[in-house]
Order: sequence, then structure tokens, then C-alpha cells
Amino acid sequence: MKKIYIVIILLLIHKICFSAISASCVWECRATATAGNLNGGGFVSGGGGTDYSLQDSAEDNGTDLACSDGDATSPVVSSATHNFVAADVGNIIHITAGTGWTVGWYEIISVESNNATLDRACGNDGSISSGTWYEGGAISLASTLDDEFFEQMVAGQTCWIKAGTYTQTENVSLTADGTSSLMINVKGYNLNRGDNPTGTNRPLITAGAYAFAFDDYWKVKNFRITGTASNFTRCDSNSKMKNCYILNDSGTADRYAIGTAGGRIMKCEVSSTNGYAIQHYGNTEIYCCYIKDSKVGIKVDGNRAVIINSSIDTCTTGIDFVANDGGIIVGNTIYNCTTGVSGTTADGILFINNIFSECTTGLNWSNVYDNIIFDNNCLNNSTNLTNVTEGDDCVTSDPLMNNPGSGDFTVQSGSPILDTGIQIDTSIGVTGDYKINIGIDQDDNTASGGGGFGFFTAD
Amino acid sequence: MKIILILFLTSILFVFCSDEDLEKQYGKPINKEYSRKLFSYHGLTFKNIPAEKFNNSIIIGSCFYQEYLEGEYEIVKDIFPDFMEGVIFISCNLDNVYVNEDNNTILKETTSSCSNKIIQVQNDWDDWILDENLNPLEPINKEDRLRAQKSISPFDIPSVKWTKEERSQFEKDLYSYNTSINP
Repeated sequence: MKKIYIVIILLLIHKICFSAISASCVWECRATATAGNLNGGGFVSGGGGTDYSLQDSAEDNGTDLACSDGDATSPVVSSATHNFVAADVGNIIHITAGTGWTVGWYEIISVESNNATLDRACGNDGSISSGTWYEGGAISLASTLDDEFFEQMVAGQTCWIKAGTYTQTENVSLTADGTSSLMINVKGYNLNRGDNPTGTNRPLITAGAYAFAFDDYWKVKNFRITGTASNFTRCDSNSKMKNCYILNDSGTADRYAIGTAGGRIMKCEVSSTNGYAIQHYGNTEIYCCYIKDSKVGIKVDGNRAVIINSSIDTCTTGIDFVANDGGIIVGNTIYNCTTGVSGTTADGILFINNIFSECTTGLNWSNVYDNIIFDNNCLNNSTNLTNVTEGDDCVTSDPLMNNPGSGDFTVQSGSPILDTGIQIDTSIGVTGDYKINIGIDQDDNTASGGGGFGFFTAD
Repeated sequence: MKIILILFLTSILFVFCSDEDLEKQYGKPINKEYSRKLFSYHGLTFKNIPAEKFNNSIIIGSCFYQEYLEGEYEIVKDIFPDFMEGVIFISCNLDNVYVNEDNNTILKETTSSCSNKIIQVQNDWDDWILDENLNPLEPINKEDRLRAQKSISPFDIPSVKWTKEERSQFEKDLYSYNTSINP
């Protein structure tokens, strides 16, 4: 008897754990799609079907979906007005209403005799009917189902969002996670999937007062996101945010544009007019970002800040180490801030190959820490260092940037920072002449300057 | 019974509509100048724009949200032309924006509603949704707070504005619950 119970339990566990839309499902969002996130919006290739998600309207819909057993592991559904055929396989069907139905997005696994088999239970035990359904068509976003849509994505899936304006009408603050082997992808595109748009060719998310925040193991790229929320966007553990423009233009003080713990922020343009462009809560890596016009560029309130090859421009404080244990600040250009970098009790930080230029104070610490390493930096400020000891091989003259007031941080041919960054050379046994500049510009613009690559190069 | 059936069928027709279908259904054009755009700039007003630019059109997917800032007299801003009429808003963010629904202007549809909440920052530095009497109902980041086991009751809004340090700690608590890495 016990064995029977165990088998039943195992069957139930199987039913709960192994029923979901495939990890290979690809979703499509278009601003011009049928309003209200009603469409199916996704497609799983490989089953021989036709992808109906690449269109504004549903391929088929109705209010007549029927099923003989809604809570079956693989329920079979039918419609009096639509014969399900082979072309439907792999398409996502969105069940939006109906007594006994569980609303949600379902994958058509197979078809037989004009009936469709779905990926998981879709309603109550026994016969259910009159379900409202949509198959195919892109997701519109700008709906009270935005959070539900992103939340139902699972590890491995990809959502493409076509250029256009998407207006949020509710909070999107997700708890769904990808995994280390299958992350969840959300990618903007302009005309064709994979065209990696820049500037205003990227989709625009207008968030208003709402958050647009992802959880762990997400890859988010090619977007513009604007809003005013206190907890605006998030790039959490093992997530990557790349090629995004993020602006929090709230008039309320101390709100962040990106909050991050354990995320990688790469090649993004970030501002928070009256707050923190990036709120670092620990173990975050920031590469090749342009952080500007904010009260604080990066607020470091957690361990291990890694900030590399980024420009921090016109902030009251460029980087504010509120609390930190260790950090790597390499190859950045910090320009025109009241205080370039400030710290209180943070220690153990490595500053190398950075330019601090035209700030009122370059670095300002409350206490003196001998384990703050400050080598091969360029200092050109009203006051260069307060409670920070200048280390080896620093340059204390104008780096001769071309037009930093207009965002051009490249250096002129006579710049004193050319080839003065800490670098591999023959003194440690290698052969050849290696050249690394201080700051973000690694252009080889003189016979003796720059090596053509930086500490890190984002592609 | 017939009326209910007609309303039901009408709602089905509405939800299954492309732009062209919407134009046919309502007999009005999509207002391309004001649809699917960002107009959420503080202090923005359309009062000096002729109402004819808006009248008898469908505006879809635009953000008109007006943030309330401390010290301002009005939370809800009257930004549209005084004699605007016959406008149908679909999937727009009209938070803190006054829309005169008497002038044949339709703000909310059954399945594709706009957001037209009243939102105001409170002493905990978060944005809260207010009722029509301007009393706080719930915070916008309600789900985040519930996950972090923080109160969403308006009775727990501090009577005095939190200090920067108090707010910073609260935000850190919210965040630590949102990620597997503990700040």
C-alpha cells in the first residue's frame, strides 16, 4: 500500500515540477500589438509549426475553448470555431477568461484530430468550456498584465522587444530567476532581431512612477528606460544589463536609476537627476558606463565594487563609498564633480590608472587608511587629495582631454597620461613594448602613446 | 439579458483589435502625434495647444504621468486643453492627471484600462496611491514590501519624515530580500 502512495506522490511531483512552457520559447513584444497583453506572444521552434507571434494581432481567437479534463498533466483542448492543425504546434495560446480555466500562457505541444495538447494543466478537474483564448500575435505590454507576463518567463527563454514606446501602468518587480546555465534574456531590437540598436532606435520603456526591475540571472540589453520610482530598475545577482540608457528624473531626492547587488552593468548611460545613478549593494561590476548629471554617480553601500573604464561626469559626488570592504577602481575618467570620490570608513580599495580632473576635490576621505592603494592616477583638481596618500607614478597635471565639457574625454597628442598607466613591461620578464594610458581613452594617438586596448574592452 | 449579451460581445470586439480595427470600432482616428510617446515631463501642459489637436481621436500607449513634488499645491494636474472632447485613451499612464470624462472622453476600458491613480510621496520617501480624499491607500512598491515583510498599512507611515539614514536602511532591507546576494 505504501508503494502505491509513493507512486502517486511521485506522479503528483512530476505533474507540478515538469510542466511548463519550453525553455526554448521565444517571445515577441510590439507596441503596435493588440492592447492589453492578450495575444499568445511566443513560439517554440522545432515542432514543425508556423510562428504566429511575429504579427500584431492573434492568428486565431475565440470564446469557445473546451477541455475534457482541465487538471490533466497534458490537457487536450478544442474549439468549435478553429480546427487546431500542425501549423499551430509550438505557438503559445493565451487563455484569458472562463469559468474553471486557469488564465495564463500555454504552449501547444501537439495537435491531433483538430485538438491541441497543452504543456500543463489549464483549469479545474473535469470538463470545462467557454474559455477565452488567443493564439499568436505579439505581446503589447503597456498593460496590467506586464508583471504577470515577465514573471511567467522561465530560465532559458528569450523575449524580443521591438523598437517603440511602451508605457507602464503598473509595477514590474520580478521574482522569477534564470539559472547559471540558462539565463532569461530580454533584448531590444530596431528592425530585425539581433540588430543591436543604439540611441533612439532602442525600445523606450516609459515607466512613470513604476519600477521596471528584474531579479537574478537575467540578461537585459538594448533599452531606454525612464521613470521616477524610488526602486526603479534592478540588475541583481549574476544578471547583466548592457547597452541601456536609464534615467530616473524624479524631483524627489535620493532615488536610484539602477539598484544592483551582484550584477554586471556594461556600456550603459545612467543618470538620476536628484539621486544615485547606480546604487551598489555589493559584488557589482560596472564596465564602460557613462554615468552623469546625478547627485551621486555610484553610491557604494556594499562590498567589492568593481568600476572599470567608465566615465563619471558632472555629479555632486562621483563615487560615494558609504560602506565598503575592498574595491577595484581602474581606468576611469572622473570629471567635473564637486567631489570625485568620497569615503568615510571604506578601506582596502585599489585605485589605478584613473583620471580625476576639474573636480573641486579629487578624493576626500574622513579617515586615513594606508591600505588604500593609489598608483598611476592623474590628478588635476582644485584640491587633489584629502586624507588619501598619493602612491607611485601619479601625474599631477592637466590630462589635456579634447572637449570633456561636451562628453569628449579623448586626450590630445601631447597629453601627459599617454603610456603612463601601470602596465606589463620588460621589467617583469616579458618582451615587447606595452602601452596603457591613464583614463578611459586608449587611443594610440602619438608615436609613444596608447596601446590600442584598455584594461577592459566591451564589445 | 440581451443588453448583457451585447455588452459582452462588444467587449470581445474591443479586445481583439489592431489600430485599424480600433479606428473602425470607434469611428475615430488614432492620434499619431500624441500616441505611443513620452509626455511625462514635470510641469508639462497642453493648455496652449488647440483642443482640436486632441478632439475626437484615440490616444494609445502614451505616458502623461505628472510627478508630485513636495511643496506643490496640486497633486493632480490639469494639463489637457480646456475644451478637449471625444478623446478615447487606451493603455495610457495618466497618473496624477485630470481628465474631464464629461466631454465624451473615455478614460477606462474594460480590458485595456489606463492608469489614472493619484500618487504622492509620503514621509517614508516612497510613492503611495491615494484615495479620492487624498488619503494614502497602499504603496506603489507593495509587492516588494510584502516580500520583505514590511508594512503596507497607511497607518504605519511615519508621522515625521524619515531621515536619510532611516530611508537608506529601509531601502537596503527591501533590496536584500529581492536578491540572492545579501548586501
